[in-house]
Amino acid sequence: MPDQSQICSDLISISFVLNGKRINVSVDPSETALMALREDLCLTGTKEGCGIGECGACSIIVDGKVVNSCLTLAAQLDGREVMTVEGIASDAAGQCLQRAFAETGGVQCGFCTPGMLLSSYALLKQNPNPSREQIIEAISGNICRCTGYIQIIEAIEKASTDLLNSNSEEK
Amino acid sequence: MDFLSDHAEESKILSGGTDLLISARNGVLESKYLVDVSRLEELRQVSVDQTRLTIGSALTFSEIVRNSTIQKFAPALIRASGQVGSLQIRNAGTLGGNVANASPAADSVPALMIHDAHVILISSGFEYSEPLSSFVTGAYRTNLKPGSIIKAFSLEIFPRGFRCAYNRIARRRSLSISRAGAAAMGFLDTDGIITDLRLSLSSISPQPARMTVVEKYLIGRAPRSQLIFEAAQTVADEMVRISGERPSFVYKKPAVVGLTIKTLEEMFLD
Repeated sequence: MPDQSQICSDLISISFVLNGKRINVSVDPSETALMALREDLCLTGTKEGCGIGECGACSIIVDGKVVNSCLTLAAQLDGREVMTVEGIASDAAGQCLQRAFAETGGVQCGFCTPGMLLSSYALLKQNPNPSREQIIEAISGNICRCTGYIQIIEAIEKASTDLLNSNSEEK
Repeated sequence: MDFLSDHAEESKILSGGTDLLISARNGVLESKYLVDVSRLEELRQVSVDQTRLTIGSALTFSEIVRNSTIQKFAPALIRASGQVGSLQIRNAGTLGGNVANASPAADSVPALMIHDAHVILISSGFEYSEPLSSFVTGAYRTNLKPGSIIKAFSLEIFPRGFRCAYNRIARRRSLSISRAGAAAMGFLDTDGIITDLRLSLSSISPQPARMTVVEKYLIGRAPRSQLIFEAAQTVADEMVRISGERPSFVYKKPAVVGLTIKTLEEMFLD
């Protein structure tokens, strides 16, 4: 049997960009990215729902792609660019989403909201003008037990329209 | 690779981690080291020659779905990869991880089986390959030796004019582990006769398998609805022959029949 205390004391130093800022942190090898974000870095916007990659409440964006932080080891974030819900207001797409979710009633209990925001943010970054089908596909890894999804889908449609309008006004 | 051969018995490979971290959470994982191979460039290549398509083991399902070479030569694998888990799972989970986890429900496996896939392995500096059908030895068991990793998968490519299909049954479209999946490839001649056919289903046997009995039954005939129905019944009979009669088969037999009919009709009659 390996000595458990030995394993736990061997911390791994990692460095990654978190919401636009480079950070260095030592993590336990068995720690998930979700635990590191919430417990070590005190970013509690990312939620743990099921813990087995089914509900999407723990979604984060890693190198532009949305993944479940409960199924990612903290050590796997080394060298990556990571975005959590705390970083979403950093640009127009995130701001449009925040506003649209509030205005259309896309938030009820709020537990799924951080994950929903990140899935829709990743979608709008890749495809600023998604169809309803593409929106449904993009959030199909996120479970919401309050809204029935309709308000969330409408929020993303509204955010997409607002974003396109604000971009054309700038030009 | 040096670290891996020095600590072969104490190490476990991580490639994506969407299955492994669930085992770790459940306390099933007992290895001292986890070696993450998912960012090794050598495991992320796609290439094609006259006869075979090689797909790196560390490509994620999202990367596979978007790869134009795989789209051209292995459309059934594209269909299967696009239905794995959710977007979050497809962005992290890899083809190599899916095969090494060896779940009988793995979406990619039937789609690889119709291409007569071989697993290319690396072990202490040398490469060797093994047919996928024997590499997976049973439910959640493979021939992967301590200190070895899966480098890539080698798939047979088909002449022009091939048809193929992939379908699966799951409780809901996204996220669910599939209850059964079916991949098929076939050729029709100018008279509408089946000249070649390959069919493989997941979740009906502990080891990956082609439905050779059904393939032989259909080759040389014209694919009519009644014939396809009989072929689908044979698939259900094969499932019972391989796995034994189980309580769940009351539901599963008609489901497998329906899945096979849908897949064969989509391929030949649409």
